[in-house]
Amino acid sequence: MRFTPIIASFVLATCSHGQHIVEILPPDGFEACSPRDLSTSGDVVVGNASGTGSRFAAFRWTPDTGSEVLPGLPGLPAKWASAVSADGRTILGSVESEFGEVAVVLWQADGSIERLDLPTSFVRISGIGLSEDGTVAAGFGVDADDSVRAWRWTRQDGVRVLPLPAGTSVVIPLALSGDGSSITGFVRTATSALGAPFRWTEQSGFE
Amino acid sequence: MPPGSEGVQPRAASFSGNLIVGDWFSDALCLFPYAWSADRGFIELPPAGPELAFGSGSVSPDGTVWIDRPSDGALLWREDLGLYEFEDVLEARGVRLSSLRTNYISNISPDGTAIIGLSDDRPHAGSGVDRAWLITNFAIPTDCPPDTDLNGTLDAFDFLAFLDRFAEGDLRADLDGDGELTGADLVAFQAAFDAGC
Repeated sequence: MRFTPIIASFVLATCSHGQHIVEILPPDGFEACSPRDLSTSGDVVVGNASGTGSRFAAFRWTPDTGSEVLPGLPGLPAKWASAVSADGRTILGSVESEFGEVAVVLWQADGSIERLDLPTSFVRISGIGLSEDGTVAAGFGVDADDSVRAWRWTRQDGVRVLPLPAGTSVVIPLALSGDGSSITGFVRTATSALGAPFRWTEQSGFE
Repeated sequence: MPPGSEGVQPRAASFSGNLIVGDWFSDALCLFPYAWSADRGFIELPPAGPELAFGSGSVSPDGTVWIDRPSDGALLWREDLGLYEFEDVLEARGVRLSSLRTNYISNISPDGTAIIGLSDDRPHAGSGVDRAWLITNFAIPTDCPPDTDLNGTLDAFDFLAFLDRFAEGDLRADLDGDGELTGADLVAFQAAFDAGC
């Protein structure tokens, strides 16, 4: 049984300390949703919805609207939502055409969608983290030779692809710190096929 | 990397990036949670029982590490507080989870008060999907040993909860840390309760 289509969530419990648990139901037409990130207050949750036939869509949930599929660009439906700024007004994710063209985008609260200017040499790209103020983003791109590189975008300087550390061909960033200053993830090397962790900062580079 | 590990995978970082949590892999490809700080390197997290944890997937601003468990509710751990069952904390505060479980923590809000995750309870047979949830206004338990029921206040219910643990042989009632439950633990509880938090 699924509750009200008007507000696609319901409060399961509250208590005297004001703590609430709410089930987040998927957008209409989808079977499940996987939350990925949330604003400071918890009033904005973003993630991925899935349906039959390997259908995926980026969604945003708020208490007022429930889960809604985010808008895409022409020919590029919204596919993933990875991160949201602390105030909930900026969302990082990607849009993807049925032919596999992918773009990393920022959805803004005013309804605008900003496409990040990532190198066209990447055959696959993904955004993984957004700083709390929404001005720094990070992700990775796959080159035609299957090497994987991390990238970092700042509102001020645009996209910068980070160099591959010596001896590696795969750098997977997994988290961006809240202030946007450091990226953590793992690298694959000849001696560590399962991955070795790294942290990157502007000051120290890879360590 | 931790001794004996075959690989390490970070999964989340604190605001400053100075505390990182994730999984490390044994040679049998079992996953174990870890925390790493810039000051101390790898920090060993305490064992959570035979069916153990899956991996640490999130970290709160105060350094609380959240540990997923596929077959049970998530754990939360902080160095000065030790290990807690997340669902025990919620239950102590009157939050009824209904049929939801807190198996997987997907993310924590920047101030640590809102949490999103997945429940692998699947009420519809064959549905094959996890259920998503959001908890708001959450507060990490304070470092107050006599607050046995974790509700943030000291009252008679803490004493009753302590006696229950003592009667059941639960070593969390071993307040003097000697590995046994004795009258000294009752005295230690009374002293801590009287001292307040």
